Amino acid sequence: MTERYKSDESKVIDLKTNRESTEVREKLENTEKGKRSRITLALITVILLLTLCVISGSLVAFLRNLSILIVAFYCVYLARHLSFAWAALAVRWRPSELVTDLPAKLPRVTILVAAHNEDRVIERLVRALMNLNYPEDLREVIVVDDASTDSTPAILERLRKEHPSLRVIRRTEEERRKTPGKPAALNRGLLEATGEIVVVYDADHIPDRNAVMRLVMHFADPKVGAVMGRCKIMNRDENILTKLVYIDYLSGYLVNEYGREAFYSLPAFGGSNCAIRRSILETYGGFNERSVTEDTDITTRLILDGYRVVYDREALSIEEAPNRLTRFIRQRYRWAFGHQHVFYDYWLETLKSRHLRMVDKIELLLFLFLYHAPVVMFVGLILGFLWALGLFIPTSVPLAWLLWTLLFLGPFLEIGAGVIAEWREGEEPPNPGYLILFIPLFFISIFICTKAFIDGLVYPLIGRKYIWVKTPRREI
Amino acid sequence: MRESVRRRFIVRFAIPLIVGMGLLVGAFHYLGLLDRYLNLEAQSLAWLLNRMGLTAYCWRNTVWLHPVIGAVTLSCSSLGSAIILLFLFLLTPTVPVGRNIAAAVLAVGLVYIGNLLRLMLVLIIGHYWGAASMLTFHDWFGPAITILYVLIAYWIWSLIVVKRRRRPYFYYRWD
Repeated sequence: MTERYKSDESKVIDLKTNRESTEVREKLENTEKGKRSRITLALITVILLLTLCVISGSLVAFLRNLSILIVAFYCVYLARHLSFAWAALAVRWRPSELVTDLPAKLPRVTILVAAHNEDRVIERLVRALMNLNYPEDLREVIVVDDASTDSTPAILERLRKEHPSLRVIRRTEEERRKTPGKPAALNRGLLEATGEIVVVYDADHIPDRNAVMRLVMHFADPKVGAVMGRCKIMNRDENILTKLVYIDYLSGYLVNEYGREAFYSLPAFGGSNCAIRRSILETYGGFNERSVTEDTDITTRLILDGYRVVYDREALSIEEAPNRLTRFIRQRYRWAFGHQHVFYDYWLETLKSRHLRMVDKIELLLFLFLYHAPVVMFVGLILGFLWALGLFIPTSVPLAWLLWTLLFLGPFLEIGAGVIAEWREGEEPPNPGYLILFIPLFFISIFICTKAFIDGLVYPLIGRKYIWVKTPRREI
Repeated sequence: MRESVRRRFIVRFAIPLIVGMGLLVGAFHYLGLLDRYLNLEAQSLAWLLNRMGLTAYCWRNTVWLHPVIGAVTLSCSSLGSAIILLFLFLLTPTVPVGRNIAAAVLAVGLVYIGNLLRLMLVLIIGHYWGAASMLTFHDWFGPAITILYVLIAYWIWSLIVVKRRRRPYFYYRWD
């Protein structure tokens, strides 16, 4: 057991050199790979649409056939939603199936926090991290102050004096301008990390005392590359939006993530309350600074490289939900933009992967394509409006009925299952009446994802780059 | 874990769902149950309108309420939503069978009544404001009402199915 956690000195590479070489490699390889992957995808899409046009013969027939394709597409996602909902409600959570036991010798852990203007929340996080149920001599906490202009540096300085084990690294404004975003800040902290396991927390989180211990337990299995914990919303009762985000998280963690774990052992590695082996991160040259969803990027790379990502829903952490619609839209836009681009980058490699079985490849592709589903829904809605205006008549009324049903049934099933799963666990449930408010939220999601999709197509053409947008916090 | 879960999903959910749906669709299609169901909905609708003091006549799946005529078709019917809700019991195999079936039956009943109320509203609008208003209401507000009553039925279903053991929301909050 001890051997598993012993750093293999021969394999330790200087991260700075590695990062530089990785950056060069990425420029040479990844852009080429990415370009090839994107061009192939664009070609396939154009060929498919042209084939559909030729087969259809007329515009009306084309629209009809398109509606059939959309129904087929949503049938696939409905099956996925249905299976996850079933897993959430019918399969009991048995951690014993995941965790072997506590490792004989606990590994050294580095907890990384990227903080940019987090004076409202950083203190409570640091205090929670200092209070973790994990041996003090085996954990280090590194907070990277990402050129904050508020009182974050002063708070961190005060906390550092209080807790000598806390390390604070400050990125200058110039560094931040050069490489903006959370991945770059985390990579700066990674240069100083000494732990075998790297645990990441966002500044607005408050981890459970046992969260890190639970995350680390899974690394007893050498195949495990990363572990994801469960996040819950702490400000559920603040307003209607936070209630909806709370319910959304229930479906995300109790249904979707749990379903992926139970059915395929392919859960996603999130951006916070998660742990990863440092050796793997070093091989990857740190977190991908080109991606605005570095977590999805890491998930895909880990899975494609044959590592196992584990989800432990008892490794709990609470976090803030955006309490204003504009903040929510900005956050989800970043998720959609980043997630869509991870799909463009890795879809071809997923298909070619030798580690994955066909069923796992399909699941990974469906997961990566997830933020395109609202774009398809947008096309479905346009068809619906054309139908309502009498400009297009579907092949049959049941088909139209099916289209409308499928557009909302799958997401509703998942969200509903999340509420019931939470309820079954004995939590005070949110009022399921709020489910009805998900209808406008779906429309907002359709708008966000479609905009992200169009921007993703347009930005490379006009030479514009999407830069990481941080969600503002408020103290609760 | 995943192999056994997949197998259980196929055996306990996917196969019963597909077979059950197939049997139901087959029965409705080939044994003429569909027409009977649509006629039943139309008769219930006419009965409800008559109870409200309006003079409505029913012939097969068609209801006449001066000056409009409404036909209960498959897409207008509650059948689709009812079938979907009926199979919800497959999602909760850990719940005692009696409670599970009772919840599903109640949800189906609620959907039937909800759809009846929607159709009634459609015909009453047609009765007082004419066919154009009726169609507008049917096409644009009908789906919203459908979603509403399906959600209410789902809500009632979950109330029955889920055992309530409440813990305060912040029970896990630590200091």
